[in-house]
Amino acid sequence: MTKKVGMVSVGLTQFQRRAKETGKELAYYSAKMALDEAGITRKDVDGVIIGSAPDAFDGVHQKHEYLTDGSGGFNLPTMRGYVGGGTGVFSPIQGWYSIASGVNDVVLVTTEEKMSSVQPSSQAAFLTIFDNMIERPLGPNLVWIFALEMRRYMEKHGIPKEHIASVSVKNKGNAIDHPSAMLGKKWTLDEVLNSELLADPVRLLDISPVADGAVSFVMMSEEKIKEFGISKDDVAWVDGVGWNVDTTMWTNRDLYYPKYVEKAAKQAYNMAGMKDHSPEALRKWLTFAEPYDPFNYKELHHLEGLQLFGKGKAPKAAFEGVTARDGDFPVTPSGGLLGVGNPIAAAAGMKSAELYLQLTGKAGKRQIDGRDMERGVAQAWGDLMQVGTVLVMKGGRIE
Amino acid sequence: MKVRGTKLTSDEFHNKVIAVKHAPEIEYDWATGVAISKFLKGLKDGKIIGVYCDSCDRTVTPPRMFCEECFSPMSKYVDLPDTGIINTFSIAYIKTDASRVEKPQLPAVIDIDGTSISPSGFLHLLDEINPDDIKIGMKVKAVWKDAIDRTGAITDIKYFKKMEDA
Amino acid sequence: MILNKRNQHKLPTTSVKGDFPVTYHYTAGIAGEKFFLALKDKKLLANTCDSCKFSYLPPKMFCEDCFDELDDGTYKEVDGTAELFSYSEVFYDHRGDKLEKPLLLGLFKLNGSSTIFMHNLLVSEPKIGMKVKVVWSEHRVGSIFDLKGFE
Ligand SMILES: [Zn+2]
Ligand SMILES: [Zn+2]
Repeated sequence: MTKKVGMVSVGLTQFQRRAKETGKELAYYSAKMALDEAGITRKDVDGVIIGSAPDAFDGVHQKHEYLTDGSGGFNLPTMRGYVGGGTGVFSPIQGWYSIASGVNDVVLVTTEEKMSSVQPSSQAAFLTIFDNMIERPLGPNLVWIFALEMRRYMEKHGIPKEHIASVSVKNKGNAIDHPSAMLGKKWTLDEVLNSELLADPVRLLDISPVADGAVSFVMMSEEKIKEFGISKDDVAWVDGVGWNVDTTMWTNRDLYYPKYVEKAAKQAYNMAGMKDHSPEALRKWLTFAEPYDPFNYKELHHLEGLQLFGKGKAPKAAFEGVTARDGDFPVTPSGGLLGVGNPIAAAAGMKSAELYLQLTGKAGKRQIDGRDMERGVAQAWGDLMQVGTVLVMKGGRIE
Repeated sequence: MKVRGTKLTSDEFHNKVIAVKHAPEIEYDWATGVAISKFLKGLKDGKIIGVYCDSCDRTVTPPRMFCEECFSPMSKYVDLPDTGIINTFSIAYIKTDASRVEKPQLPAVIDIDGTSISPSGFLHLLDEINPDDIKIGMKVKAVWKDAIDRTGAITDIKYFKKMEDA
Repeated sequence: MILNKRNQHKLPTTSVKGDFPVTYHYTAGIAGEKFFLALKDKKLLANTCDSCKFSYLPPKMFCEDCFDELDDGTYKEVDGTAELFSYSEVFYDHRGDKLEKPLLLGLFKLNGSSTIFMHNLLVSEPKIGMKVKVVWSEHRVGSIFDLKGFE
């Protein structure tokens, strides 16, 4: 029998293009903030999880060892999990199973990335994720890969670019209200559609900006939450988790649909006891979603993988405002990677944090209003386009 | 909620704050392995090699030593035609190092003929075509380097070009 | 292993060479910046955690044990005297090439700090426990080489 696990606080740094702080100093800011918000100290923690993407970004080999002190791991059972961009949702999943299994009771989870260390461009650090024999000699850029996937998706369903571009407008706009945001701004659809063409159909404002940042969480068993006298209003319960990886032969699968996200999502929904996976039922069951949006089309792609919209149906819904913060089904109220910024592991960490903040009514100006905040889903995606990680949480008062 | 972090301008980052610069002097030597060695040798001979899985009854390329689906060893290598269809493509103005180019590169995933799942192919480049005329589903054919210049590399195929209507 | 055997076809060994063309730019950070700037002025800074009294040299922005933030008030200059904690005579560089002249590397416990600090040992007959003192470079730019070592 697994233990019931709740998230009781989050901590975030400012996301920015270039931070003066070292990676471990950024980790300290977010970890300390999460502890303070939970009203506990490091002495109360009995396990530490570190989530960070390739060592090649910070330029520190075995980054988990380097980040240990700033993440609060000194003299504690500490481990790092890493599934590329999927890490920021996977880290709280690791926090969950450390506690659910009975190994730990109070876990401090930190996700961190300092991408400004790579010069002249973080692209260089991506080089060896391409196959060294049959891809890298062709001179690929990561943007190419997204362009290839985006075109396949658009072609399959006949999606107009306007529908996809509307996600950039929405998310970058939502980010204005996020204190960590580096790029919150009201753009017009035309500005997005006419921004610099990088790799057709991908334009500059379709992409999230690279960033430095860290995000932390405190997670506890139900008994510890009671012992510390933490109010149910300050808790978001982990309801379901799932993760899945598709073939690494990415040119051997149809890029138009993320099957691995579907599998991860269904795993999480089933764990939460939700057996009806129809979009209508899921959109009623969930109050909102924070799907991974490193590119605008990815938010839509992932909403479909999450079964929240039928195949090819998400773009029109987004364009018509269904997914606006005050829409029928709010999506990425945080502002997402597109608006808040993309420090890889910490970016999806920020999405997991948004679940907590929205469900506990602590999202400030970003708070979704006019409805009961029952349940939300966060999802991230990574490796070379084949990892899906999914976290469903519910508000503390929901039994 | 007060979030922290000290923002640096590009000038502060590069010229003002104390920092250490370091370029790791690393060179790698990646073994091409069992299956990709065959594939690269095939390219040197002007052929595209695939591999067949008995238990799944499927032919795929690039070849691999084991089937990731049923986890059986795969050792029946087959010659495939050097033609295929465009599965997806881009018109790219951004290079590996994020620098920009005037004349776009045309990366595409080519679904190689003779394979039994779709897509089953690899990333390559298109040329001899006006970017505006490229379409998903278009039939293409490999344009090879001269035999004497081929080294057993993915670049032994210079690019794929549109097939003339047969 | 059957799988292994079956795949021992007489394959030529082939490989693909590649590099990793990046340059890293590491900021010294909040605590590091204070430390390196002080070196320029021939000052060695440590900082001490109020809660546990542990002193860090180089200084840290936080105490890794108490998790207290160590602010400006926690920094103070130490006098540069130290005890030799351990040492090694090094004959090869980081690439595995033989050094022209062997290098003496020491671990130093500086008076006023709780940590161990690594730098060059500038004595001819080292002995663990011996008293040593910092030697400054003429030209100082805010780097670890602002110190020549300890003698
Ligand atoms: Zn098979
Ligand atoms: Zn302390």
